[in-house]
Amino acid sequence: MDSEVRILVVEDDPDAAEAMKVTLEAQGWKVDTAIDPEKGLEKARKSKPQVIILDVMFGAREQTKGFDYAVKIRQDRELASIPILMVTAVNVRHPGFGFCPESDEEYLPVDDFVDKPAQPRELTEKVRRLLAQKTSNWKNWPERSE
Amino acid sequence: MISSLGERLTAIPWRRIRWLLVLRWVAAACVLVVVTATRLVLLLSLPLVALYLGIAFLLLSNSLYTSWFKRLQSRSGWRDQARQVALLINLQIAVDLAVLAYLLHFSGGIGNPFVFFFVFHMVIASILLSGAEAYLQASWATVLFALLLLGDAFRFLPSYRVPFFVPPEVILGRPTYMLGLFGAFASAVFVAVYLTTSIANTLREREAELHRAVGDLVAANTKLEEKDREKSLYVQRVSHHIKGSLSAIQSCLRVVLDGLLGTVGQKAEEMIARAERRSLSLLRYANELLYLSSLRTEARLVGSEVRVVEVAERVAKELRAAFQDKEIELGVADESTGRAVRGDPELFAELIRQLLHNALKYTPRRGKVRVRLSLPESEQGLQLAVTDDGIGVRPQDLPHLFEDFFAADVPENRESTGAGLGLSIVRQIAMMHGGRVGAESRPGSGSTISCVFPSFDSETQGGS
Repeated sequence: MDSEVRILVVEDDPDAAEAMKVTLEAQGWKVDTAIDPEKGLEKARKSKPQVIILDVMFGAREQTKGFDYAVKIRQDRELASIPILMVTAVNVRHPGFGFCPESDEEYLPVDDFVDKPAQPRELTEKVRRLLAQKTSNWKNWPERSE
Repeated sequence: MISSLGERLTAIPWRRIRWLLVLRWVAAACVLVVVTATRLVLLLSLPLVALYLGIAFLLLSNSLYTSWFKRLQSRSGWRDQARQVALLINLQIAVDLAVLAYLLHFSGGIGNPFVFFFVFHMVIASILLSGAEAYLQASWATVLFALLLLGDAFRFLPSYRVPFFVPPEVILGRPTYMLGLFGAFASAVFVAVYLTTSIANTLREREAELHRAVGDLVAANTKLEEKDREKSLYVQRVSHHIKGSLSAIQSCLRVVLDGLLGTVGQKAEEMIARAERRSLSLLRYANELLYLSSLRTEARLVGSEVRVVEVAERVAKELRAAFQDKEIELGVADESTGRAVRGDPELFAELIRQLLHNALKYTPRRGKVRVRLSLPESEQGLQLAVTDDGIGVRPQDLPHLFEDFFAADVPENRESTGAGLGLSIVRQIAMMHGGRVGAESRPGSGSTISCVFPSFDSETQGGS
């Protein structure tokens, strides 16, 4: 039972979430989806997924619920080591958040990015890599940032 | 530029006050020369000590005014400043009049033809002061003149006699002439004030009108900018929404096309593929629109030192595969001696990416595209040019090249283009960096699109 791969997709667009679920299930992985960060946190605690796929989830007023979610995962001792793959449009700059700890004051504690819309091949490829990696580079966050 | 003009019009007339201070240095020097020459050349006996004292006082007071003036200029809180400036000018003119009376007293009194010089002070007062203040200064001049006159007449303040000048006795012996002289003097100073004030007032009104007009323009411009920003925000929201949906549509279709759900019929697959292709091209369109509108709503960018050649090489590497697909040769040449500019490296990367995409689109197979960095001919800064040997641009299209959606109007390119915003993005990024864009083309043999950026300025170094 322990060899089962569990992936959690946190995405507020149910259709995009379903497409990702189908893609990942085709690999024989068990996929759970959560439509908002609260449910996502709950499900993460319950199922302890090996990888979390997280959408940026822009709110109505430029809120980025996905960013906050990533921070919450890292602050949770039980979940902090789960690698996160963020689904985002990389070419659009997100106000107030950067992606690089060297140059950005407030950077995101996520392990990899996949451009939106996520293409099946790229998505599975990146998830596979994170599964092999096992623990997040950011598991000790925020201590890392001093 | 408009706002600085507005500021200049509302501001205190610093320039005229400075002019008054310079004028006083010149006047003091002239008096010094005249007095000395009168004594040395004309050999007239003059009370040199008293006159030199008067000149010394004039010089001293002017240096005091100058330092006061400088302190006032550096101070903020302009309401208080304006009051102080008026006080300073009033004091200067009143003291000048007294000094003039003093100098006349020691050089022949009202017999000295330089009494006319009171009128100059009236003109200056009318230009720099309010009407009431100018009339007050005219009254002060009249009082001083009367003192000179009466001092001699009643001998309580007899003036120093100078040979050749009309001796006061001649005037004083004729009371009617004396009265006439006083009347003429008083009317001369008051009429001078009246005439000058009325002209100065008209000019001031015009200035105020101009100022109001400039203020209106500034306000209108601000409102326009605000509206433009609102529009960009609107576009941003709409394209963001469209993008989200398109992205979901594409993902759902892709899953079917990749066979993750089993096989579908050949015709069905073809139709899904068509829909997926269209959703992707619309997605590209929405992406460009979103990117451009987010650039337009962006607050001022704070840049760091960017070595554009490094950015260009990085982007060229990133796009190499796409160029190789069309067998197009892509080269980066740095003739700028590695000059740096200030900006956002990611924005520079996007600018170069857009220029290269554009070149790729219009260059036929086995063509040649070059990115060239050089020093612009006449000025400081850095020039970035992307040259292709593609189809070129029709002369009538050149002026519109950087307009939004322009390329979308070229029918033969409908299939391959995105939104036609690539060069708009280039122009927007260039403008955000204080740069400008230009295009040259020889139809049939290619075109060059260039951007000129101001060079990295060490003076403005600071925030990262």
